[in-house]
Amino acid sequence: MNALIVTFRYVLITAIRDRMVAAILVAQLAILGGASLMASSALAEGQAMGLAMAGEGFRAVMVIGLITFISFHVRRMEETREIEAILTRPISRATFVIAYFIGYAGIAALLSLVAGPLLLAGFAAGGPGLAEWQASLVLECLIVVAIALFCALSLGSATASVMAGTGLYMLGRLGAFFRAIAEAHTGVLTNSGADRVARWTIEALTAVLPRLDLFGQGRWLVYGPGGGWGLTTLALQTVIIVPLLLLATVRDLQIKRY
Amino acid sequence: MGAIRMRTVLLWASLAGVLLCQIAANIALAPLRPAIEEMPYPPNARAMKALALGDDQFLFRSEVSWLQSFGDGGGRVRPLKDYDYGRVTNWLREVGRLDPQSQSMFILGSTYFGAISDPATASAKIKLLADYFEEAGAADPARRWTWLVWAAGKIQHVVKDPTLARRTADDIRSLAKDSAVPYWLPLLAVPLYRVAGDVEMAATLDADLDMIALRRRALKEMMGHFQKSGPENP
Repeated sequence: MNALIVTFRYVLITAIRDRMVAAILVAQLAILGGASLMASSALAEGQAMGLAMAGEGFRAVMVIGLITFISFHVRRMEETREIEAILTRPISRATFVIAYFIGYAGIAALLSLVAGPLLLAGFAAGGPGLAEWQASLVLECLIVVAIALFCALSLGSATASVMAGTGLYMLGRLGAFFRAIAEAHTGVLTNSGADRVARWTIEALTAVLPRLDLFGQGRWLVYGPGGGWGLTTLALQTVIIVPLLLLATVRDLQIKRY
Repeated sequence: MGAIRMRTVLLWASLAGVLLCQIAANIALAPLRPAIEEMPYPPNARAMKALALGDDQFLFRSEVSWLQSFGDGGGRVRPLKDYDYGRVTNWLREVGRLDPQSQSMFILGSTYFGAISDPATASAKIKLLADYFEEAGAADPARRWTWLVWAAGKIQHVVKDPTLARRTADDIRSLAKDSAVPYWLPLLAVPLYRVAGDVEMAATLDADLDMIALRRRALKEMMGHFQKSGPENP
């Protein structure tokens, strides 16, 4: 327990020192300003325009900020041999990964919780829809933290980690779309052997990818909860994919280095 | 010491020189403005799904904003008469599917694209918009009867296309018993049948007892409204 608190404090101090917290807060305020400008220039339904734009902007900033911060932080810990030093103490690799995940997840949750009040103050977002969207953003950030930690600890380069993390996130958002194409047997996927392999590859890939496209629906902000799924589905997805990614990270740490 | 100062002066002078070059280049490049191209064809529903990355609402609002400001670029504007309204209405249709609850596409279509007044092209272009509005209004009258009224007005006064007028009139008549639309809506069918050239149907409807009752009720309500608001502020 003590290790978790110490790690969280350490990650928080690093995030503040690296200006990560300040950068995300400034970016969120800038997004609120930009969304307000778009809302005021809309011919109709300006509030809905502002909510959708700001919601997407907040999410993009959180995703890019977390992947970048975690990738570069882990890389720096590797360069300064900090990870090696920590692992020489009586601490298992699993505890190490879980402690850092909780540290990053805490920062992610704290920063993402700024989005809701900003949407409320800027565009008078409705209560239940805003609450659902806010909770969904926190869950999505937890998944992003797990993806970033997996990429950062598995790959030797911060740049590669940022690119792989962003790529995995985008695949998670597009997975359902690719699967729909594969299942519909349309487009370029005919019945030839090569196309069948392509279809199986897509189906295999999308079977393991998180369904990130279900998270953070702008329509919750505009029209309130609804649309076929809610927090239960998202929570289920989170409690499955986060342990999966963390276990993969622990396994990678065990077999590769240190 | 002198050499260091010299290097500092040189560095600042170089920086100022390059900055001035950039300002001069920008002044020289000012006449070059991005061309306002023809509106592209809209992507299909599946491509829209890919662009949305799971958040249809965000894509919907982005596309509304893009459509609203499409013809305004680089300090120049593209007149509405130069737009291909076939593409415009296809964009309205495709983007509208992303959020069936929103009225944005219809407000954009009626108050922006529908504001075209060029005598040579307005009729043909507004016909395309009216066709879309009529189709959308008839499909969901409870939410979109307002746009059915807009389409009926434009068809009667601007478009004057007999086929579209008949289709709109038939659809409006079929809503006579629909409690989700205003009671006076069927009254709009009569002038549309006249535009369609079906004078006999228009006369039959004019003489229909239910229609007469509707007309009296609407007239009474309108007079009451005028009396309440006064002649100077109808």
